[in-house]
Amino acid sequence: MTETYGFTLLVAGTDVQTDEALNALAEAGCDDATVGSSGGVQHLDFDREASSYLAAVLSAVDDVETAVPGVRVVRVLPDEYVTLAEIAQRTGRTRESVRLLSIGERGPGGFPPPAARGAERNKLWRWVEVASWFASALGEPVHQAPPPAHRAANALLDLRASTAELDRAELSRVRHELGSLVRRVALIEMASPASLDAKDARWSHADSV
Amino acid sequence: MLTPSELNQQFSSPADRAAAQAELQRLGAFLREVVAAASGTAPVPGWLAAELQKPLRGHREPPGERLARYHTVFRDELQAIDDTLSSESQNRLDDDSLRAARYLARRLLATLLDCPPREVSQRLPATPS
Repeated sequence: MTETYGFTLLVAGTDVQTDEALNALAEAGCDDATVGSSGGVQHLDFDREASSYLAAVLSAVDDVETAVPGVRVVRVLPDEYVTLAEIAQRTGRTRESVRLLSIGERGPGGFPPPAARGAERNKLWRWVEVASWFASALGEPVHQAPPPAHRAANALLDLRASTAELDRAELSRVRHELGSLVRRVALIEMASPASLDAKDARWSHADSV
Repeated sequence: MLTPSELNQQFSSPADRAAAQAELQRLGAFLREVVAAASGTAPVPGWLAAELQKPLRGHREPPGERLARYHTVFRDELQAIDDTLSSESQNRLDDDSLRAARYLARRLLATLLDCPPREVSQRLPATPS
């Protein structure tokens, strides 16, 4: 079963607005995207049909980068990082209300920690975490909150981009950590009831042959 | 019995978490015995030999063949449990991984013993061989 997922890819590198690039994008299956630029940043706005959000995003990244040599997808929008003021706007609360929630002086506590901490005024939070907290802690689902997979998509893009800047020792360390991460992901994937039911069926089927 | 929702349920206390870790270590030790026996690196322990003698869903199958087939079908899952039990992984085991590993271990043994996951602990001896 598929659904249509809306998201924006920010791209760097080759110009994707030439006739040649636009034709190549269309031929690669990106006819579900609108290409544009804003403030010197190129973007593709997708409405993509896929089995999941992550499948939609990753297939779009693959299609774009395959179609136009030299182009690199650098981020998936909507913006992942938000200020208190933006959280207030997106949740329909006052900035003071959100500030009190964020420091545990209002609400049940457990507000996600900031993802980046500058001066008090410049703290940033991950929108996915904040939206999830509003839904689980306050029972206030936030409309148009990106799914958890949004964060995974950007993490994959960030990791890919950062490896070009690392030295050999750092790359080795990253590879080690990725190995742990891959094992963790595999474990959780294997432990899904659906996966185990399928294996049990294989076991039972083989038994009856 | 662990249900899919319990895979995501937070541990209620450090003691709850410690109990889950202890259960994983116990079940994992039995699974390591299964793997060792299937690989021929250790003799088949008594508890496993007794289980393999029992008919599985009405079918009789030579114990050795059944053990080898189990090892083949669930090789990746058994390896994942073994990896999780390694000392390095144990020290860094986050809650999601711990819940997943315990669920996986229970399900693997339930399949081998042909019983519901909630009965696995009672069907096994107190300690591995």
